[in-house]
Amino acid sequence: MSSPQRIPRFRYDGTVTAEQRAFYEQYGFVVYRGVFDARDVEIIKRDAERLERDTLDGKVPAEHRDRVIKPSYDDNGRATLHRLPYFTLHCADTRELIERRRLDSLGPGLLGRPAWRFEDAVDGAVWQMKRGRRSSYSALDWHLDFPHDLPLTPLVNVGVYLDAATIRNGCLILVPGSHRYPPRRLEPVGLPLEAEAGDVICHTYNILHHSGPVLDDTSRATLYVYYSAGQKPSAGTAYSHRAGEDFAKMITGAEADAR
Amino acid sequence: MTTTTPQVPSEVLQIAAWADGPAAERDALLGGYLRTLEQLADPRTLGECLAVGLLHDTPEIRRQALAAAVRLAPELAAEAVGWALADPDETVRGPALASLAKTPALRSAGGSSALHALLAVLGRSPDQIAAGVGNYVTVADAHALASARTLLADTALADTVLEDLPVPLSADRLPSRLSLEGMRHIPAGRLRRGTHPGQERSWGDPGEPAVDEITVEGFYLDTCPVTNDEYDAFVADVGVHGHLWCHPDEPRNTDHTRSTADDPRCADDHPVTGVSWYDAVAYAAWCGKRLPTEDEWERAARGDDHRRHPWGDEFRPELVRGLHSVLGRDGGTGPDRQAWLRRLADLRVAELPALTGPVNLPGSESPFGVRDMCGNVWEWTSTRFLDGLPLQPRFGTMDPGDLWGEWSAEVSVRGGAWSSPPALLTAVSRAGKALVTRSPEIGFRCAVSESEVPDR
Repeated sequence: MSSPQRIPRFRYDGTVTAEQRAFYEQYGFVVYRGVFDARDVEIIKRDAERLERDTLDGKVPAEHRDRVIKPSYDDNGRATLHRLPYFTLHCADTRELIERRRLDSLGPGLLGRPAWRFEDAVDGAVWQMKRGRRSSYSALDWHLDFPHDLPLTPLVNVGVYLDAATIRNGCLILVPGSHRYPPRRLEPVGLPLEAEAGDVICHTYNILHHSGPVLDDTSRATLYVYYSAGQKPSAGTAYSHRAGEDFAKMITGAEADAR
Repeated sequence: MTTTTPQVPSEVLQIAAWADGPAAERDALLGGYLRTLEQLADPRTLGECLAVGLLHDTPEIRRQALAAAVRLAPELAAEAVGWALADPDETVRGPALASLAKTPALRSAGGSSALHALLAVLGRSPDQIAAGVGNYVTVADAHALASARTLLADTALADTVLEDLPVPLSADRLPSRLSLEGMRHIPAGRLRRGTHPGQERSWGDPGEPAVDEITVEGFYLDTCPVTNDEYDAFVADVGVHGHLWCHPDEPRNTDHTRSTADDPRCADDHPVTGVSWYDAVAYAAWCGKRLPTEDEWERAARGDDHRRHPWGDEFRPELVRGLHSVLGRDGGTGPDRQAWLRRLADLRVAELPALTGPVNLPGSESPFGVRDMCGNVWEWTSTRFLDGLPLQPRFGTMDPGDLWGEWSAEVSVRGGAWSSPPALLTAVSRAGKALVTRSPEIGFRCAVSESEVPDR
């Protein structure tokens, strides 16, 4: 698979332009270059390290701990987590940063109507890390994030890249336009979206996508922030829709049900 | 004199109409068909009824019809075996080959054409066929070898056929049409894609690309777009020689005639329009050339200083055929996107006196001497629109109607057309069109790499 050459990388200044919205409507995704700088990325990474530690130490309420992906263990048996839900609820610095970078304008800007950010329900914002070696989470099969009939929809998935995503380390691969019309092929032609740390990739909730395995020794983390223009659930509503169950099975198989 | 149409028995019509169903049903119909064949006394009727089975979609029916032909109509069997030798189903081809090997009457009637067919598959060397060493692994292969050996043993037949073998397609038979006349050389160099940072942008400019600077190898590009006259010569040649130059993925039964062929406004010296990407690729191959990549197109148009228009950074309406030329209005600053789209929607294209204009507009040269790169017609490239990678279509099994909205079927077109506003009449604007599109606004020109040019 070759690296894409001409996929537009848009600039984000706190406002979604008509051109960006049109691109998002047509293809179901949009890539923003350098929304966060190196210091911003460092703030989020620091928050992630602290929240992972707190979670492993049992300092995070049970209902805010991940139930989707099993931890991985290093050679010394030390656990590492792949998924930290309710991230912005527990990480004030990151929450403040997201507001400062005006990410909250992406929701209404791309969806074309008032939108709210996942914060205290449905897992909130989710930090996710994938790794090749000794990992329970490396690749993810083709899937949609949410089905059409969920009251939360329409919504947009905003991925804040904390490390470079390349074809080699399993970047996001999606089928442009598949949110409007299902692919006509059993094996659709996927478009790999490479990104730098600090880039933001937004995609619709119902676009067909997957990510390949991490083929090198790197790991890469992404913070997913969700904006919905649908119904807002009450605080604490769990991420328990069927789509979520399928999502878990796709990652971990039957083992996910045991947790 | 009157002729009477032979009455086709109902059993034959039933087998002709049978397409799918349980094997027992097929076998019952087949049994009736074969019994009917045995009762037919009129050779013409028998021949027509045999053809129904020999050309049937179902291999079992073809196989049984072939056996019946050998048994019932020796004078027709040679032709039937000839058909079966080309059958893709080896369970049909194998028995045909076996019949050929062991039936002298078949060999004398159809030996020549059968040996031609066999040599095309097995190669031209009787020694190699006698040795039997090669890519032979199936029952049908063994039958083919045995049949070929039997036929080659007839030295008179073998000599005649071997002398008569066609010359393979080669430079002797189909000389390359490649000529650099009418082309300009574009040396290897750097291309900065799209709008530069700090440069003023317009609504027609593309977003910043994932990779914004690359090296483009040296190549040649047609000085002007391909004209209607040139394209029509290609279509005529396809009529004479067949579809020898087409892309392998091209939709079946493509007629390369441009959709504007009956429009008198599209004069001989105007750029060709109404051609799909597949048409353009076939034309380019006919010339010994290819379509330019999007990067080649952009480098040829923008030069080493990466200018916005081929002639410089400022828009000059007199150097480009756009909507302002067609409507006879001032090209000036041009409308915004919405105003332009409203204007297009109100346009009565059929009533316009002219759409395209003649190629080779003076003064429109790019730094490399290439003309007409902006305006008149959008130009097909060989590049996929969304990601900028080479287009390698594999849509052969899909209905062309299913390609609308399929991102991997969108090709990058460049340069703007007679219907475009100034914002799109630049060397940076780009658009994606489905590769099966035939539009009065899309044409093309051809390229050839330095490395593809024979030593001169």
